[in-house]
Amino acid sequence: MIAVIDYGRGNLFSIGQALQVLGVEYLITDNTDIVAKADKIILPGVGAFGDAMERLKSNDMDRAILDAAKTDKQILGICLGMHLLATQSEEFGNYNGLNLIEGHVSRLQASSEDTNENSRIPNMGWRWVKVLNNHKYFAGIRESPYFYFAHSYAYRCAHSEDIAGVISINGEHVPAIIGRGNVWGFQFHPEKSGPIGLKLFNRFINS
Amino acid sequence: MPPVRVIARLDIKGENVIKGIHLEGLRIVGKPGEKARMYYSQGVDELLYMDAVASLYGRNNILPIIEEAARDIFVPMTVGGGLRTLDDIKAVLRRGADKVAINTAAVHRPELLREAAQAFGSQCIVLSVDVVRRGDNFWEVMTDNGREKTGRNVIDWVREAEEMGIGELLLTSIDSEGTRSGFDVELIKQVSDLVSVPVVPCGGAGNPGHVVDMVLETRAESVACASVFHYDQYSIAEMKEALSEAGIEVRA
Repeated sequence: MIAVIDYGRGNLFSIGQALQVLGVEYLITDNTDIVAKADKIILPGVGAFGDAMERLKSNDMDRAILDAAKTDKQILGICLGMHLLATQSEEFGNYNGLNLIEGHVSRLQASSEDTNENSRIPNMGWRWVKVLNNHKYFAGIRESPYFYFAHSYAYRCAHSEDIAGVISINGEHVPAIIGRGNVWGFQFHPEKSGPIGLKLFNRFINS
Repeated sequence: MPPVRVIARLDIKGENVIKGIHLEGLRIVGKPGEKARMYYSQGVDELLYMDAVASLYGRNNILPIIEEAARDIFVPMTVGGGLRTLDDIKAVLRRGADKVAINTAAVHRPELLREAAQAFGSQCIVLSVDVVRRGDNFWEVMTDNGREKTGRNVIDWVREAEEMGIGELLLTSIDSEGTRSGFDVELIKQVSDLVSVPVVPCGGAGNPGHVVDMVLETRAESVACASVFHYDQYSIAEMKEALSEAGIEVRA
């Protein structure tokens, strides 16, 4: 069973529907006992970092996730859920994260004089993800790796080997997929990235 | 520039997709489920649902339509029309919408945008602006699906709204809307220069050439179209092909 952590914000319905289409058993939950029993954990996210961490802490969900990370259970953070894996974030103030993949979250660079690029922030829309990792998860993804993004902040990984895929925004390489051991993060929304998104999502949850 | 997003706009009245000209004279053009699935299969990048009568009757009857779409359509969905409170927004997001478009309620009380952005994140708060051109550099902001005048110039309103923390701006020209005669390029340029968030131009596409010209002239990163797709004149794939042939990147 896959536990999708509910902390009262955002669109969990689509993640649930995607999991249903992919034929896996899942529970959308704020119950730490269920999270402890789950085979895999999805940490979704829409909203602001500080508010989300606050909500996780309020019912010891942060502890439950950290405990699960010590086992070999796979944990997948999506969008803000990925950011929560970081050491720290500076979104609307400074907040500590789960520190499962070392790094900090800060605002996307607004424009680049070097490349004369002026992409609008939030980064909203489909971006071509360059996959850097040879993991079996990404087999066949490289042909048309467009995924849907909606974010104003980016994960700056402390260790470059944790970065499995990047996009380029205003001359900057922004991590799109990160991974360390059993803990992974997607900056994009696989559940909103059409057939290719579902394909990648399936690799993670059905393997 | 990122790939240009091709967005299909579905104006909803009751159980049907409707379409008018200048937001009036609404005709039924199909069922939301059928249209949405067809556009998804053709490679649409995003869907935009607008409840055309919600703010008139003060109700939201679009929820079951969104929930049905979210079952087998896996691209972003924006929902607007009659959303007035944080609870209204939460209800739509819980049913599968990724973003909400707010117009009338934001004009009446701009703070709603800030509250919504803080609660749900800027990336899901879209300001929807419907305008009518009144003169040089003056496009009047209209509310209640184009029925009510505000006397406000779009140029002032979008700046104020951006400060409230919106994540995107849907810009509909009522003059061009439904006419299939091309975009108000001047409007799109002016508003795009004023704000740094993504702007989604809407209103006027009659063929792929209109969209190509608009994107080349305004550097818009997206476009929302209705009639051009609803009447089966052009498919999403044909639109993308035309953009691609003009050297504009689209999602394959």
